[in-house]
Amino acid sequence: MTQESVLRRASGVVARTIAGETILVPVRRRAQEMGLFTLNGVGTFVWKALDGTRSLREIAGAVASAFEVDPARALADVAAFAADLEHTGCATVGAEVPR
Amino acid sequence: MIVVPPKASAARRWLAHLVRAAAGAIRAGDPFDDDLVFESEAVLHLAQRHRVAPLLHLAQCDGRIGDPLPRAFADACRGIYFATLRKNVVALDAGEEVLAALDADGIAAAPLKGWALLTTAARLGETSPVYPDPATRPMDDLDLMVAADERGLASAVLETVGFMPIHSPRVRTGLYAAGHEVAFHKRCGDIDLFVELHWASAGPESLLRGMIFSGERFLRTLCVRNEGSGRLEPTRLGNLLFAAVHGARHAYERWIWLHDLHQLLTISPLDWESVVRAARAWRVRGPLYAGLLATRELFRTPVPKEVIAALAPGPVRRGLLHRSLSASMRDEASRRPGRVAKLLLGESWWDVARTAAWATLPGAAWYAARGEEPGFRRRLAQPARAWLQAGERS
Repeated sequence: MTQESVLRRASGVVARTIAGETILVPVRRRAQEMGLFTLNGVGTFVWKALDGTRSLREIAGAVASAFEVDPARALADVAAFAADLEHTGCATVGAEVPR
Repeated sequence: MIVVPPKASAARRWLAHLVRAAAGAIRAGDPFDDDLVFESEAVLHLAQRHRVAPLLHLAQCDGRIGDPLPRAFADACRGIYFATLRKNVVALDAGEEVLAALDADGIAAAPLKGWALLTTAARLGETSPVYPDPATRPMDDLDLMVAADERGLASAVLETVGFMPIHSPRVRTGLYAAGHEVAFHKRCGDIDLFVELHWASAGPESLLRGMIFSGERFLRTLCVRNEGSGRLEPTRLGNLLFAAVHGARHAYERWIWLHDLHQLLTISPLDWESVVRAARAWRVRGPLYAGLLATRELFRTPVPKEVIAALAPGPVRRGLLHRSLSASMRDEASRRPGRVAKLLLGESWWDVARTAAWATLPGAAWYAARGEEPGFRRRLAQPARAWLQAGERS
């Protein structure tokens, strides 16, 4: 995965936002795989931005301006978060945005 | 004492103490009977039966339960909390899809019971529901109210979103003819989801037959359109009356139903006069009386004495009702005291006598199993019919 990767929310993941936090529930075939993930405000922002059209760099830029954080730090955090989402099967990597 | 009688088991008394602390009725660390042994397994079994384990987990996280609970007990409650959260998030998502599909077909429908309490706004103009944390109100299914005229169409819409009817077509036809609800199922990954489609508050065979109201009347007078979503949802009064009737149908055998009443009564100031007026108009004074009494005892919910007095039946019926309710709430109770309590919840002795006669006439079970509501004459003829059919192959 690179900064230009485009991620999309995986099908089979139910999301519900409650009091500013988002709960992700991967609905899987095997009961032993059950689990859920809780996203804070920034995580929720990134999760909603994973629409399959924007690269991680673009999303990090939006995070930096929305939450007033250093762009480099935002990019590193968004990339790490996206890797976690992909690892847990909550998001899938699509094509890369050509520079 | 109805819910926790003096001779209640140690587990029951411990659980009552914990749910009181969880509901904020007592302060963390308030003294309790130290001689009572805390048997984790027994208390957990009871907490699961009453569907309050997630509430206990949240209360412990919030510091509302003073002394730390035994590790095994706390871990079990935590596990139940997250399992409930996971299931409810998926169920609420599926529920949204159901409501959207019904709305698209122009079918008026409103969520009921747990689903309503997890989604409808607690106060006018706000979005936070009666239970803001979806893990704290376990649901067995999504209950949905529609008008009787639209039950067939609503069933078809449920099938289009993947909810398949549980009953065979023959049984379903019988239920459509004379029942009050029909169930649907959908599997979502590893989670089983159920929808119960209601078109009345109870079936004709119910011991609460004197207080049955139709889905159409409920939707028209006890529901409003949500300003945000544009969907129908029960008003606070609607939720309150339905919770009372539903609790009474099951003789308040689960404490979570009493907690529902507690939440509805305490989220903001209540116009008690309108509650009493509505209870009279909907002929549900008995169920509401029993619910308020039990809720006040268990959660120390502030219910004015005048309200209790206005809803209470006469002294004889009240005495009998307290005895039968108390007996039905014992941990190892049989179903008989609950049935007696339901009978006594009628609006008057005449109601009680009429329902008792109906329930004990021959053929009640025979017809109920077929989802039929025959007249008295057919009911009386049933034994002969059963005798005649005894030799037939099933």
